Amino acid sequence: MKKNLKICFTFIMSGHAHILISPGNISDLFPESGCKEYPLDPGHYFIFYDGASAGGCTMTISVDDVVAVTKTFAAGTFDGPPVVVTI
Amino acid sequence: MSKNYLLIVFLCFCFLVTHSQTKKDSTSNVIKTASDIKSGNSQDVLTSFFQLALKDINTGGSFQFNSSLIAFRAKANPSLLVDTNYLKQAFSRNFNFGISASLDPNHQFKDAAINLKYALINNRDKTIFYTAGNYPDDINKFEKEKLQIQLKVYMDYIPQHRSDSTIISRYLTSNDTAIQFSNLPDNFKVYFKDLLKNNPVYKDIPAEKYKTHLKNLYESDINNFGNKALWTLAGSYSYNKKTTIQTEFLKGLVNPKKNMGLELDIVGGFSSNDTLVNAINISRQAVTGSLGLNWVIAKNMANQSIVEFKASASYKYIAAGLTANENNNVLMANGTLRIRITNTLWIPIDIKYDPKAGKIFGFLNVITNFDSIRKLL
Repeated sequence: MKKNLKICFTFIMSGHAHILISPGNISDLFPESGCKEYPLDPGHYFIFYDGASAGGCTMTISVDDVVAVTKTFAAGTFDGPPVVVTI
Repeated sequence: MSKNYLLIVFLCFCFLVTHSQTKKDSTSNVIKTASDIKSGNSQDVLTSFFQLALKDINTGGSFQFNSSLIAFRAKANPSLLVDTNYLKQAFSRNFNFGISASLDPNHQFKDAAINLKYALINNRDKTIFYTAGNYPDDINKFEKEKLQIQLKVYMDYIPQHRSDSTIISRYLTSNDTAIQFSNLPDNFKVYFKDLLKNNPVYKDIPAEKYKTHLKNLYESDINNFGNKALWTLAGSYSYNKKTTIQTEFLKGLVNPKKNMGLELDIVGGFSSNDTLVNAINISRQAVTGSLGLNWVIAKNMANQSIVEFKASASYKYIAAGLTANENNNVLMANGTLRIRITNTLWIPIDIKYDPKAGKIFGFLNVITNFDSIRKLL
């Protein structure tokens, strides 16, 4: 039974982000603020991310609309260790 | 004495503003804005958010407050700062308004004015730099591939070398500058060199430069962006019925290196006012122009300009309303040294030289650029 992984970015002033979900090697670009949904089979997933924003940004990861992780980044470029999410 | 009080009150205000922003920064991962990396000169030409200035302190003094329309509107509606809204607000981003008031050398009220400014061309707005569309394909390509490299390290290498996971994880995080390639375990160095060699995008990047490569691409692009043209048109109307129209053009002249920059600054203006001379009302009109070069002498580690010097030649032609013993053609040589004291506080010192009269004038200013962004985040 697939669950819905939802990733949202909110950029202040301007920004963008790349993400990579593994397993599945799902690569995606967020050219502006917004949310994207990925139906996934149950399991552990690594979510890699990097990007940049002029005034900072917030990344929110939810599973079936329950927030699993929220990260706030300072202005400029950002990245970090992958987020592990259990679907 | 009142002049000193005015200066002390202003400096206290600037300190409080900068101190509160610094305090906020230290507790929220240093949220700085794109406006912080603008040159002091360009911040004076077009304010990104709010600007307070106390000018000509040693000759009576004038007070100025400027705001961009977007900063003012965002106070009431913070969602305007979210990129999908912010990028649509071209007029608000490019429109400045403000008030100014000046005192004579005896510290009596001299004049007050409302000031409006619009950027007709603003190709150097760093607040919109980070949109994906602003980059050459190069950055997007390296950014995207960086995630594939991280994926391989986390999936293939770290499970076999768990004791090294912390140092490797910190190395792969670009903003953690404490860990460099030389600090890494030898096994990982060999693995990582091979990984880059076999990557279609990173194959020509030496492993030692992996961490700084993308950062350098960004910095180079940001500097090039800051070199683009800015052209403004401004108007002001004062209590003493003085009307001023001014246009200013800024453009980077040479490709700015990491620590320096040079920009052309051209100003043209016209002013008209009625002045009372010996109980006779005289209509006075003047045309002004200046041609200058602003040199960003030094930047700090965060790529912020910290010392600038602008040299310019200015010309003033008094078309009507010439007073006794006054020249209708005045040519001056000017210099402005700008020193950044804190993230938001600048001390510009203006020096003017009148070659005909052989006189040198000096003016001390204090300018603070502050914004609402930090408080809204």
